[in-house]
Amino acid sequence: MSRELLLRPLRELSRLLERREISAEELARAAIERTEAIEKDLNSYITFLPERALEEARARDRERAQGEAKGPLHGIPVSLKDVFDTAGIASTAGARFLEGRIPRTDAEVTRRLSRAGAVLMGKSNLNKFAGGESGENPDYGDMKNPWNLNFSPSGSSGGSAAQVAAGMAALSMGSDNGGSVRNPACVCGAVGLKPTHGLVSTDGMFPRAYSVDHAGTLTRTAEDAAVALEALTDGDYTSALSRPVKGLKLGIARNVFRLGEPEVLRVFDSVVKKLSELGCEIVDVEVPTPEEMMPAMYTIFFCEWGVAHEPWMRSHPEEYDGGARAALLISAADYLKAQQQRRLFQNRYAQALAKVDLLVSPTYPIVRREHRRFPVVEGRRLTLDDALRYTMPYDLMGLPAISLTGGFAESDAPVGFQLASAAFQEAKVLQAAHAYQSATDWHERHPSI
Amino acid sequence: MRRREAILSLLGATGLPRAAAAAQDLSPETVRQMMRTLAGLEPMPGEEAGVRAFLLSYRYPHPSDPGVEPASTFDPRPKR
Repeated sequence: MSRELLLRPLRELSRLLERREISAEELARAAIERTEAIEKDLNSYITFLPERALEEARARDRERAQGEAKGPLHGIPVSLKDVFDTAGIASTAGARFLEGRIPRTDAEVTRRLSRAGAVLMGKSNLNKFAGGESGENPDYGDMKNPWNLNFSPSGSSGGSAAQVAAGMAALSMGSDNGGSVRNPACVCGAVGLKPTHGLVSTDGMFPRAYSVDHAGTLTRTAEDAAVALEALTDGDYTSALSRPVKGLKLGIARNVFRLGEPEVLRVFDSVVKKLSELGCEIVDVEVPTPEEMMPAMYTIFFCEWGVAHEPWMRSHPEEYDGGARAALLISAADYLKAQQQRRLFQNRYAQALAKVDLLVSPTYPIVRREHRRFPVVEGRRLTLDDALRYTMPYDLMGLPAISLTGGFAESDAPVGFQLASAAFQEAKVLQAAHAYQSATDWHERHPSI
Repeated sequence: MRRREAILSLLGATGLPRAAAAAQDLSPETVRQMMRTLAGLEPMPGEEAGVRAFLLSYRYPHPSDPGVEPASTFDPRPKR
């Protein structure tokens, strides 16, 4: 079965399965063969499950033959970032010392995908403990970007984004607490959706920081993200896709914008032009700057992280070097003051979103992410704060945001942009993303690997 | 160091520069005491510099706004 077939959107694969032009077993076998051919280059899996996947795919085919197909995900190959618990399968959070951690029950995300008939291909590589956006993992090795193996797929859901971009899975689940779904989607040419906080259950997801943890999807199209979100939530997100975007108001926060490599800014300008051509009205808005938000973000983040990881900080202190265990020294008063500030930021975001339907921005200020080194922009080497400046605010605010490809810097370097909305307005985010993809063909380009 | 002294050393300031200065003044032994007394963790050899750097970076710098209810929420539905 051809590589081109595996690179088709989930929805198209789903239709082929429904019409029985292919079987779930054939699709799983093709995904296994493709993975075996390119995984040595990408290092995208921590646990690859080919035999289990084939067994599950055969069961899906039997169910379909008996008229028991469960919906559009039935028979679709999917992967899970290794933060989602899988009953009977090691769930490491990217830390080798947790290899013996074999959950007895599935995470809610795992359960829902299984209930929808998806075929689990394996557990994806990630930044250790889902921390950072480098696409590095000291225990399981660096992940590689399928567009150019010399670069990182970003992170922390780097393995997931690489798999979707390279056609190894049609859907991968990631987690996002600073941009970990959207940044890898951006540099891998995928679609990364981080829904409203709590909309997709984080039950059974290895915690990083409770109040900013989100489960999100990596797919090849916005329509596929809508299909996946329906399985994950029971909501209706596909009906809105066909609605016209003419008249939608898109806000640009110019007090935040304009940090990035030149190609990021050029692509963003072209995206705004295209959205204007589609009938969207562009409006200037003002939101809190990342510089204002970072102290509150880090206080909340590290305090919650310290609590979530305390047992392992105690039993495996060597895994938390560099002073990370000082997270347990953050005072309750500091934590609550940061939460006060968070409320004020929420009010300011609400004021901005009262004027517009969506906010639009770049996703990631970097075109190609090198391992262990940020690029120099305007004479200054970027920092982690810079790398997260467009994505992190939506984690702290818990608002839905999506990243999709808006152009290319070079033939092997996709560049993304981000759309965000008020809480629980995922349908509107997906509607605009789908309209953009319907009017462009960036998402139809694939890495040559 | 007693717990109260350790807490006072952390509450030295409402602005980041003052907090940073307070953290910079911490000796390795003070840092070890804080880890034992406040975090309840046995310090690792050589961990002091990292802990001090963390405190320099991540002390929350802003004063309280008493009129604002913190954003933390409690979901009364039980979770496993």
